[in-house]
Amino acid sequence: MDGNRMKLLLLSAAELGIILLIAVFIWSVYSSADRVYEIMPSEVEQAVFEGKMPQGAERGSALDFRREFGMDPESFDGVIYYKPVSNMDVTEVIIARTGAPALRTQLEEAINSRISAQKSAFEGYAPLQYGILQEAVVSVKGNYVFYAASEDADRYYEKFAGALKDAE
Amino acid sequence: MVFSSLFFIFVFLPVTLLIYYCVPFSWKNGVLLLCSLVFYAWGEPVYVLLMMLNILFNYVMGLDIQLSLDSGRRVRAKLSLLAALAVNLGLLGFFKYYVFFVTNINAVFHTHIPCRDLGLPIGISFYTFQVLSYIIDIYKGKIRAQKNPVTLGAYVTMFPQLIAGPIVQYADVEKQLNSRQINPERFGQGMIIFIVGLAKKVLLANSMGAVFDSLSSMDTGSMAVLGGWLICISYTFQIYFDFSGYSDMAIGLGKMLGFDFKPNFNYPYTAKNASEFWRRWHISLSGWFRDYVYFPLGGSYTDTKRHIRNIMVVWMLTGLWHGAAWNFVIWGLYYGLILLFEKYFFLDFCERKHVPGIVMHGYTMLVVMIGWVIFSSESMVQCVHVLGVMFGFSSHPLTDTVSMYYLTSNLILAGIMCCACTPAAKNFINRMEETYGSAVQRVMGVVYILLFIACIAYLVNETYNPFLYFRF
Repeated sequence: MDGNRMKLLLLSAAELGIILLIAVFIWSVYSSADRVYEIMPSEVEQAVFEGKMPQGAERGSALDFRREFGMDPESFDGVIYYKPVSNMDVTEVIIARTGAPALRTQLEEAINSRISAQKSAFEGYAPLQYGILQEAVVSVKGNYVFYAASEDADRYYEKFAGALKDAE
Repeated sequence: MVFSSLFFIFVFLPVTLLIYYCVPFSWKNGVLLLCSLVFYAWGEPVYVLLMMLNILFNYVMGLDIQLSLDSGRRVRAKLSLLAALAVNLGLLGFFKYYVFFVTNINAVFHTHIPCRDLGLPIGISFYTFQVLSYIIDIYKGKIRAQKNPVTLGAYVTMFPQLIAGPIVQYADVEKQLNSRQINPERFGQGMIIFIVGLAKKVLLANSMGAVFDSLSSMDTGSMAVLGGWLICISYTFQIYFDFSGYSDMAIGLGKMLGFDFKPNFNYPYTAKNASEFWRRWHISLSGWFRDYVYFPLGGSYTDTKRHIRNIMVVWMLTGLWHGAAWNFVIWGLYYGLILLFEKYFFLDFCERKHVPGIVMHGYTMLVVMIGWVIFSSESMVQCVHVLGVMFGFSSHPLTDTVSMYYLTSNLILAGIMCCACTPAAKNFINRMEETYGSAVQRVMGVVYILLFIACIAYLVNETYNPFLYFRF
């Protein structure tokens, strides 16, 4: 076997080895990556609320969403937003879907800011509302962002997670 | 880490330059590679491994192709080239387009192919195209394979252009990798270019970007026509100053390190037709597609049918390169059609009719701005909404208090930006230097220092500092 042939053989072995390493890398990244759920936000809403309105909340408009969270709901694949019915209520729910990780992070930050602001507003004189905010659930699951400030926040979250699991 | 951040300007860059200037020349590529890996890992601690594996793979493939060619094994060389193309484009396709294709297949064929959101490795579109230029040029015989993996690594990872270009073809920097001039004069020139780029990004792009974000988050359903145009104009300014500013910073940093990169923008908003616009905008990308896709397909040296095919293929790929979404594909095809329209009818017609330059400029800006509406939209529905508002469909009023407020409060800024889009300032400075010599240089030195201070003050004060081309 001439020298060049030997070198080419070694290079081929190196190439295969590196391709294998790349494949292992991709597999490890893929298996730990967020799932992309194709279920529509409206279907998730149906699963979470079963056709009923969350107590103390009403359907919020795009303008409401923009005002409270500083983001354009049209940037998302879909947003379900329930806002408090009055200034003394804190019940609030968001179910939002987007393929953009940056948007999910941005919304999560906006929600956390909102919770902090609400807590500051109610601290000291509205213990029930403050308690609800303390127990609020914020979760990013795959391409979904979920937020619930409600007495039933945990139940809503369980139904939300269940709806995504069923969609897998 | 971004160039327009306090950490980069006051920590990473000084430390890197200090080490780089102090070490012997034979170590400089190694230092550059190491610092570039740190730069990349700062934002992508996981995907830095992918980039390193990618470099190793292309290093070995380059040697394989070179050895095959040298020993007369052309078939093997071609197979190795195809394998390299498949792996590189496969990686880019997987990370960038996998979710897009799967969700579209699921939507069209009602299948349920699972997919996961992998996140896009920063700069993958840029460094993939760089390594492809390296591999293809070896096969074409334009360059010889680099035997030193550190040198190749330094070329691919070079932090000035790693994450947002310009796309530097290996052939353009091959000599500089082995021998380059590093002296105070070049450092000074690089610093000036960097400061100008920083000012474009921080003072101009970010300011107009805030206007765009504010306007585009409003309900377009009730927006006035003027509001629609302000969205379009603000984005037109933002994307130019953002991207050209970053390119200038990259070129300036390259010069400080001893490298001369080709310019990436040449006052594109002064163009008098779309073809000229694309010879002035993101020059490195259009050059890459010209050299590695358009010419191999036959370019314009073929029959009309094939030429049209070649143009549409290049522009579809150009659109796809910018993002995995239908608006980018439509944006690319939009320009393909415009360029064909100009080539086969419009430019000849305008020349015969002696259409004034100002009219051609107006036509070009209209084409470009409509293109930016398509480019910037999150969905085609949003794109149609904004275009509808701009052109007065759906009975929108011409103006309202909101749009008038944004217009009047940003008029001066827009005026400055219009001037900055032209070479007027540069030409003025050059004329003054010819007349008054070194006195002008001293004045300009003070101006650049003040500009730098203004940028730093802005960065300290503001939290709004996006970079649009990061997502590619």
